[in-house]
Amino acid sequence: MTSEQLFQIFLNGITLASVYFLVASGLTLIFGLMRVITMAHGTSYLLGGYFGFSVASATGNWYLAALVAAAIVGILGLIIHQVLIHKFQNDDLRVALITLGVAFIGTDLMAATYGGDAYQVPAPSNWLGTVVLPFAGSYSLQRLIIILISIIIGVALWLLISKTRYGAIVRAGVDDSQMTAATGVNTRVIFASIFLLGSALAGFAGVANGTLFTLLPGQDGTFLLYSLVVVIVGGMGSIPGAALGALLVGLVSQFGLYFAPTYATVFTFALMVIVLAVRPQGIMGKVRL
Amino acid sequence: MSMSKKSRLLPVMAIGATFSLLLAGCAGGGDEASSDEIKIGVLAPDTGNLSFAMGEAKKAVDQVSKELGLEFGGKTITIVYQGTDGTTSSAQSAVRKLVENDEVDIVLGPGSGDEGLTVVEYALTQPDVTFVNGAASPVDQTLKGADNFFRFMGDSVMWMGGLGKYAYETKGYKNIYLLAEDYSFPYDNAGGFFSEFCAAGGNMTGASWVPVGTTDYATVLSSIPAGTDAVYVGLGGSDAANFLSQAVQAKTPYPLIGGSIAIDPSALGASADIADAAVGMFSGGPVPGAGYTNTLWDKFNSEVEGVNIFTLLYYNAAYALFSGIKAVDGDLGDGQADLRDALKATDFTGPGGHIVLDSNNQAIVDNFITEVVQNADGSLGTVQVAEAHNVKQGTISYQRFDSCP
Repeated sequence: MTSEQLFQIFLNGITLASVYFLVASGLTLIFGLMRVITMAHGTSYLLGGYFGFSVASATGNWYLAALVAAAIVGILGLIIHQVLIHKFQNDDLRVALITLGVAFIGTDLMAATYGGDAYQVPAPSNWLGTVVLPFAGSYSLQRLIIILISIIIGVALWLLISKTRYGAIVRAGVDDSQMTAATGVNTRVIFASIFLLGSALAGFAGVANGTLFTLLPGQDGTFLLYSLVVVIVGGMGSIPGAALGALLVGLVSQFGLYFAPTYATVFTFALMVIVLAVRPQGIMGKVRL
Repeated sequence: MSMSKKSRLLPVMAIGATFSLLLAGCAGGGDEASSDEIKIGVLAPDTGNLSFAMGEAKKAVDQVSKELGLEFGGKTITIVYQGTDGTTSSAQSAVRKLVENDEVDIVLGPGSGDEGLTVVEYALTQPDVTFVNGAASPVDQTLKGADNFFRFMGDSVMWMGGLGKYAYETKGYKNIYLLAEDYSFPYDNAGGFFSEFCAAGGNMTGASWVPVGTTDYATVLSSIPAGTDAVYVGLGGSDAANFLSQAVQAKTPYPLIGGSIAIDPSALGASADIADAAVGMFSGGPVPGAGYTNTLWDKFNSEVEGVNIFTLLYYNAAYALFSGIKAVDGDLGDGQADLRDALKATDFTGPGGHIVLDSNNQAIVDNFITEVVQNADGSLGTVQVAEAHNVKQGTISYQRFDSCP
């Protein structure tokens, strides 16, 4: 392997990590705060991608497409939370089954609307082309932009959760939601806002990923699975954990693809198994008593 | 929140994830078979990188129903569609569901390589059911001695006939790198190409066999060794579209040679920016390009929208099957013996050329070499480079290889 190849593969790993992070950050927030696993998270991702494709194709405006997709998917997530999940919030198995049902319905509706063809969200024309980087040689500009966007969103989320009053309430809710409610915080509003934010992030991730790669049926399940791996590896409820988990999963899968392409998928899941064996709460996760 | 509740979540997540993967491809069942109906179970992928194949299978069966009808000798044909995700396990449960739960008389399918091998193994255990292959193309399918299994299309080695020599002699490529999905179809498809290319004097500079559904090919592109003249792309469906769009993004300098489904409309029709990489790609397979003179091909394209390799192959299979049922006037008695004799005697010219069967129930077919061009409206299409007639099956099948096979 030349040093240029090494850096290229490293950047590819980070690109993949950026997309996984965007999907998983929403999941980890919902999971950390509400202790419910939403099986419809992959569906939110794919739906966002499809919306993004439709809007970007019709208007030629990628930014508008990303905004619309995130807004619609976020609001849908909010409605699903208020109508279906809110009542059963303390029953994790029931929430998993309800959201699984929502995921099936969503998958079939998307297949009926968009069919089995592959779609790619058209990128803004000034994103096309390559730039020459030190050590890595020429690299795709739109990949670098998606990496940058993910970093900005990641930092903003981290600031929101760790530096604001809202974040302090969310963190208090993550640690002990009953005690937080007892102090007079309206946890229903907080839970709803986290569901909105988490779903919107998944929708945005669909547009970002759909710009680099193609969107197609079945990806909802794949991305749900990978974001679960990221959340499990990084630690549930932690934004830096999701970033670290995504980075590890992205790098392991890309270096795996170079050294032993046939077993690239195996490495990713082996990583999860090792983390679960050594540190069951995830790398950045807290042990709760 | 106690640790015990938290630890319960992991199994819930795992069970949920498993359900979501297992059930994704399942569709509804059918009623019990009655004596005045012939029940055909159609098997095709509806999830994963070949998820569009089910739509093509439906179009093909609808077209044949329109041409030949759905009633033969007072019996009505009922169709049960069953989706898969293109993998062995999914095909296995889907074909069992069709035969054991829906009690179909005939299975039409499957659509993908590994699935095909599984279904043939299953056919050997179900002598009372007739199996007509949909679009699966591993060589071994018709070499396993299943008398009740029929394939009205070429295998993936036959599809590559002439392409290796064309790459070496006409295009002048001496060193080719292999990138392909890791399952039985590309093994045979690429094996057919490289055996001919290497025999002509060519050299293989390395191989990347990647998992089906790989989305990011940038790493593979950057690992192609220096001195490579061209890259053989043994990918299909959305994987091929993904690869091509990334080859455009990375401004890949290598000319590309396609596996049989890499330059098919099923990949080229993706709503993605792939033209710069795709134009000039060439491949071999059962789908003719522009310039092919066959009125049936023109008629087929005018009556069926958006024809690709899956539409054509499922059409040929369904046409042969319905013609066989017509020939026996809907009589499936005697363990379907008469129907199987009728299928063995198949001899018809369809949109993709002339088809007869050899003694293994394997078709002898016409085959085409085509090259990708950009049409005036910006869409991608293929033009005919060469065609071969009466192409027969060989007996060599291939496994994964990293140097000239």
